[in-house]
Amino acid sequence: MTTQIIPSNPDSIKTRFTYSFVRALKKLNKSRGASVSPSMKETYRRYHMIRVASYASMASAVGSKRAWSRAVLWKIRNRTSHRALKKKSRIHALTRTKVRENPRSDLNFHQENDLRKLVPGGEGMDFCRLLNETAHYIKCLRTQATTIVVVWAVVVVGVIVGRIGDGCGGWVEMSVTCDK
Amino acid sequence: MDPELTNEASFTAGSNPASYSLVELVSFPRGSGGGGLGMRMRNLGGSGEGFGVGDASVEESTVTDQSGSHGRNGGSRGEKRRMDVGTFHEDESSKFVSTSCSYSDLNEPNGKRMKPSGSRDENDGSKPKAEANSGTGNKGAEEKSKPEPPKDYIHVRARRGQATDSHSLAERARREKISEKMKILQDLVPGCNKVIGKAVVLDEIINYIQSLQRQVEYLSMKLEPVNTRLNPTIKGFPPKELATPTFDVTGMIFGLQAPREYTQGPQVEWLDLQVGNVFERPT
Repeated sequence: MTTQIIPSNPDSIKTRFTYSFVRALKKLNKSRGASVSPSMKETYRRYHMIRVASYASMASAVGSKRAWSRAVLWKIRNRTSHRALKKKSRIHALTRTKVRENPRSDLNFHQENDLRKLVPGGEGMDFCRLLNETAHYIKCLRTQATTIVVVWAVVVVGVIVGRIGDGCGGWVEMSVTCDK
Repeated sequence: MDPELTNEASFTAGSNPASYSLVELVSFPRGSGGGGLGMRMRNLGGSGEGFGVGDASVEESTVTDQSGSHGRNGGSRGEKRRMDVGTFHEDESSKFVSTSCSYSDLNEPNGKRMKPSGSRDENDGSKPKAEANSGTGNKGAEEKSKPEPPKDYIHVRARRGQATDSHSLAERARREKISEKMKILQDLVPGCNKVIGKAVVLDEIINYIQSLQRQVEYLSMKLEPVNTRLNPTIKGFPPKELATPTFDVTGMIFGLQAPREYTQGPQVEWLDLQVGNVFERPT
């Protein structure tokens, strides 16, 4: 018996992220098939897929409005070709010209560089825009982390309830009520 | 010329008015001479000063400068100054071309920074941007120890002790924007309000982003075995409004154990919360 609850803000990033993430999880779960004792590689691959799913659903929840979400989506879509590119770029890494320190950078060049590496798509922006993107990225990362925790907690509770009361099948209501 | 004067006035709104009373007094309503005079003062200020463009500039108004050797560059900021400048400019209707020529004679070693004075003749107000300083590659903190070629394209009065060319103005505006954004980021990152200093704040931000990313990875690692154990008859997993937890759930989970290695099998270790263990015992 499923109880549908309408979220109070159906269009927030959090809700969109939750929907897409849960959908991705369900899809992953379905495609798994029988839970044979998985090899290490399989486990790792699944973990990687979940991680990619979380980033992808976050980025698609944000949409194309932000440079970092566009960069994330682009990276995910071109994953396979990206890997080939990365190999090539590693060869050229030594010959790449060193980024000259901009005298405008106010002696924060080191941190600025680190920040660019952290924020997706941060390479090609000036510092001012980078700070904008960082602020939005931090907000979204935070909602992502807290939402995944709740999803995880709900699923865990569901599993526990499923174990304890096998035929009861009321874990749905349980998870719903525990979240209130 | 009036808009220029108003620009000056508006720009000095927040700064020390005392040092600028000179300019107001000196800016004679003499048609083009007035504007040129205003420019002249700025030029004097900018030329021999040698102060940095940034906020950490010398406590000198742009009107004065240190090369007090010349009559027009009287080092004091008093009445004497006004009269000096006033008398000096009495006979110059064309703004500053001739004076700046003599200026360039005096300040020899800065040859490469000086544009040929002839080119300045047609520069009066015709160019939208002060490109006279394009020879200078310096932006930001470099000391302006060389005389600046006069610009009258944008007459903005600088704050006390700061240079006035368009590059430094743009630089200053950019810096203010950046500091605004840094303040916003400081509010976002917890624990960043107490620290002062751009470098430390940036470090904190970087650490925070890294820890958030690690959290997400850790959580998705946690989800992986949980997902396998899901009851296949999950029809009703209602996506619902997820209220933000009032306490720091992530901190709690994260703090219970460091991010574990990925090699653990999906046994019951994933239920590593105390609560989970409580549930596990009866089964």
